[in-house]
Amino acid sequence: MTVLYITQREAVISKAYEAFEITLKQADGSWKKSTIPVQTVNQIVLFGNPRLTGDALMYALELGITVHYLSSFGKYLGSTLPSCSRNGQLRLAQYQCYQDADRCLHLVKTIVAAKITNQYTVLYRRGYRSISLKRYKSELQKQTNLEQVRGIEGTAAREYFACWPTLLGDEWGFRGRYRRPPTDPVNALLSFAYGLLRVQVTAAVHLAGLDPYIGYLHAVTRGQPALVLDLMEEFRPLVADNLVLTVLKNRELKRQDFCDSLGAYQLTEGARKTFLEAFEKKIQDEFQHSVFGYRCTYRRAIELQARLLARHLQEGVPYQPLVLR
Amino acid sequence: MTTLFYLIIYDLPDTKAGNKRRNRLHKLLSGYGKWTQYSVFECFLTATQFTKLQVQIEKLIKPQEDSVRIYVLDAGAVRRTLTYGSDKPRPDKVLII
Repeated sequence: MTVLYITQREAVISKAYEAFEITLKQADGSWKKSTIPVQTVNQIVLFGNPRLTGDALMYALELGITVHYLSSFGKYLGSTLPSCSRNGQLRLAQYQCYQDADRCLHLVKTIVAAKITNQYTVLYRRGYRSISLKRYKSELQKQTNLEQVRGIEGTAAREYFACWPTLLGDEWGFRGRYRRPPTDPVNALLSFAYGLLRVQVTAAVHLAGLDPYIGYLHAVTRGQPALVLDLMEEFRPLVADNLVLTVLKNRELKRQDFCDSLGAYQLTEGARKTFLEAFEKKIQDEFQHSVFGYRCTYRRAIELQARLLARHLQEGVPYQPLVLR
Repeated sequence: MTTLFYLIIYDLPDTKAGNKRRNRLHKLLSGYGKWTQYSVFECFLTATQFTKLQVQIEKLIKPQEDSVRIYVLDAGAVRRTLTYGSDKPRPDKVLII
């Protein structure tokens, strides 16, 4: 389970027999070559626009490697997927559930409840007890339509982020979640972390053979991979939020690691590497899985959740989101 | 999936054909692991990956002339490994470039 991240703009990735060769531009303008044991890689994540030759791309697909493209800001742009699972039966089950309002509502409530529990846990572990978040959970069960559930999710999220300035202290100037564009360093970091998480969830959804565009909590509108966003919800607090809070608390990133361009903040090149390393460490963190009982990494847990959702859709096994205490 | 540590060392004759095979073997192994010293590769592979490599090695080399030795080590053996002047063998979980 190795992930290859390429963050250098001037990189050229080509195939050299069974390996990949990466040509990097050095500070003095010369080019340096190095080989990568690509046989042991499962995912390639490209930032900005490094060049991947046709040969290399074809070979990656042959080996079953997924290639993900992100902008240099960390925004998810798309993926090239090996032809693994195209499970027609599963997709039909997914559409059937979408047509069934009651099943839909039940599933969405489970997902939102898990997200709120996980948000509560994030705050609780850092010594902050937000009673109102717990209240939203019981209120959730009384709701009778999707719109109301989405409303509660939004209100809970606002309350949750309202607790963040106390956790972070004044120096970061965090005043709430702003996405387009992220207007302060913390928001920039959150957006980046969510982008990286989305890569993992997208890969898991495709691996399980689900249709990324038919979701339940998120509206099915043009260009929105609703199911990916649905599955992401329970992991947002567990992976991304926890990571951002830890990185800032441990002072792994400082104010000068961010640069401001036209009101939008982003990470500088060196800091991005630091954050990627921290993200990889986090996603390969092992914990005791609450449903299966064995130790697994977050990356594996994401895949398990996608498969659990598939089981739920096809066989009616109750969907249990990942909740940690 | 569990990975084992494979230490692969090789010795191929210094003839024209031998050099060619050695070159090709080097390129093949570069796809699977880390080139640590002359004619030494360290690979962390799953059973499937190793089988693939094994097939390719067997297709490439000539057992009458060449010698390739593969030592298969488990996690305990890797932990007890001693190194002087270089890093201990460790699987790459992430490559950031």
